[in-house]
Amino acid sequence: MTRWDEDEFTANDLLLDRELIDCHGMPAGRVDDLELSDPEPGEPPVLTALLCGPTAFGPRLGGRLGTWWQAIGRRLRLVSGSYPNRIDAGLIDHVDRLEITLLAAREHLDSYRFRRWTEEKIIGRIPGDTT
Amino acid sequence: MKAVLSMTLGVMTAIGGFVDIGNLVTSGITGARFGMTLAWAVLVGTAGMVLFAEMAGRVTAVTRKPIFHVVRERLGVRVSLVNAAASTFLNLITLAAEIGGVSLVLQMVTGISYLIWVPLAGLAAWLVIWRMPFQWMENIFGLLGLGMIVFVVALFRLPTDWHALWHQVISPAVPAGQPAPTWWFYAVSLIGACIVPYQVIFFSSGGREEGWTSKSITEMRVNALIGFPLGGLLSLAIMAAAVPVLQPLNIQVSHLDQVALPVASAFGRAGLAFVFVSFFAATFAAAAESALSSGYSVAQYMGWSWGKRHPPSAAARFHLVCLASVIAATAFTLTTIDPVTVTIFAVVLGAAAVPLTYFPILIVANDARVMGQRVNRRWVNAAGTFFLTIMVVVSLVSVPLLIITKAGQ
Amino acid sequence: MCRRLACVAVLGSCLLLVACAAPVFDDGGYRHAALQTSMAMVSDLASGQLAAQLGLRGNSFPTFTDGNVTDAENDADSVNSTFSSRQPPDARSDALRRTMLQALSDGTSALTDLRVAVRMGDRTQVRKALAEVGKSLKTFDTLQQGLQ
Repeated sequence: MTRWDEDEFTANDLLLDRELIDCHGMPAGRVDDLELSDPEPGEPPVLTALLCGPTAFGPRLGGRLGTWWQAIGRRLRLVSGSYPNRIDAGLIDHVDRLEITLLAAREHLDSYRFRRWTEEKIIGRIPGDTT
Repeated sequence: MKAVLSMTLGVMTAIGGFVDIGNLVTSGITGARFGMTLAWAVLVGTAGMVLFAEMAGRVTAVTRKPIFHVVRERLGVRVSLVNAAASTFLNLITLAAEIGGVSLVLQMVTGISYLIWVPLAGLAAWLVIWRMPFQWMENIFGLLGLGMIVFVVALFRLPTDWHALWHQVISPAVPAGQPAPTWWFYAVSLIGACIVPYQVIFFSSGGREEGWTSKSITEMRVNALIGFPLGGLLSLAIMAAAVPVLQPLNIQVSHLDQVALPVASAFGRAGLAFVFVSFFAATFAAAAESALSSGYSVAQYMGWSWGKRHPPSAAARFHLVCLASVIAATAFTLTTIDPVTVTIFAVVLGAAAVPLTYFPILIVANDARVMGQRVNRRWVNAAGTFFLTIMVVVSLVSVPLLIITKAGQ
Repeated sequence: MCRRLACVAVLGSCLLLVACAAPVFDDGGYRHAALQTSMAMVSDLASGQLAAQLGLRGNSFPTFTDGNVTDAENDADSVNSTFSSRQPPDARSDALRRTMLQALSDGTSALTDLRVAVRMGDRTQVRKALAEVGKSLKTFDTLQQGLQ
């Protein structure tokens, strides 16, 4: 169950653009957007997932640059469709003023793909990498 | 004892790290051309740098988040994108200027054209980023940079008119026969040479690399409050040394090697050797730091893992940005554009961009919910706000001055 | 509408800038340019002179002296060519042009001699070239007094 440090806050305050830290304390990206449930009439929407990656970031930028960002992100994706990488709300461990901690390791998140690609195709091939 | 030793080391590296190609060029030019009438600009710039770096360092120590985390979280996704893009662009020009500076120093020593040295300097800077442990990098080059003390000592050997220098410091005015816009332009450039955005990005991100916590605040403060002003003093010494040697001969400084002439007059070859080593260390360290800073700002903005404390494979995209910056800046310097001109542009545009990073730091340092008892004191706030006003003015006038004076001609 | 206004504003300020930056085509402007040129030339001559003197006294490394003198020579060369490409607006300016060009080319060739002597490490030649540089500095001093 997610622990929230504060009872009342706005999404802007504690969620959007915050840093994600995985269960090993490693940075795992930023919250680019939020996914909310479609509420029944009279009921409040519920946070169902945090969204990451260019297809979430682009629309938030807005304008032509945002469209381009989103388009580039879409073309780089393995799966078709432009729905952003989801981090299910159940994976959120703790939210405070500083960061959002996750229950999963970053290797298991969808948003990890670009990093792995850079590591394998570019950085891993330069001699002297200490791994 | 060990704590004192480590603190002394920290201060000494802060002194060496404060001075870079921007200070060398602007201090040399202004000393020869305007005497000490622009010393106030160095003082203003240094005071601003101390204030800014202390706040950024404190925010990093308390929140464990360096500057560009804060920028994005506070300013939102759109405004902070402008911020990140501007900072990265400035880091790149600064990096190009520093690589040019390293190459010019090597040309001074060897007599071989600086263009030959540019790719080697770029490669060496990248190797430091890639392989050298963070603390080694800071300490080795910071300590070697201290050799610039030779400028202070030279003042006692040269026919320095202390009375006249002091008079110019305390009652600044545009010297006769010099155009006022140019004088103001160089004032902006000196301020910009002291408060360089990459140095603050590096200072705060470096704090994270060294694992600062709230307990490290004292050490960080000592570095900023003692180290940076002493660095500013070196900058003033370079300016002052030009006054008895270059000004009477009406020499206008337009090359880096002219900045070293006063020391050669005072101490001959031994003095020059100090200048060569310390100039090299200062520019080379600054090259590595400004390249790292572009990596820091992009990675922090995007939320990628970053830093030299991780092995490169664990911060792959951060290292990719650093590598790309070094390549781009090296290529830019290889276009044979004059590194001294690039330096002037870098410091003036840098001065214009200071509010972009300074403003969000000021806000966060004021937020008691985040900072707890480490929140800004009232007088820090007053000073910080006053300084923000100055920097906004500087930022507004810098580009018009750049155009009117044709970059200080 | 807003975009068009912005275009006009940008165009207008560009024109204004060009107007400010363009050379002034009258005698006063020409004399001002001559003064600026001679100040730049004095700086180059003095810089080469100082470096060569330090070299003679053994206060400097040969490559460092050479670098400074070479820079001074290159700068003097470009000062020279920049001024000679200016069109004098009238007959009076043309007379000034002749005096200036003579002085500029004397100064530049003095620095060239200095560079050659420094590179060869020939102390007598360096002294000789230094004397020429000194003479050229005096010429410009007189010229500047006339121009101010």
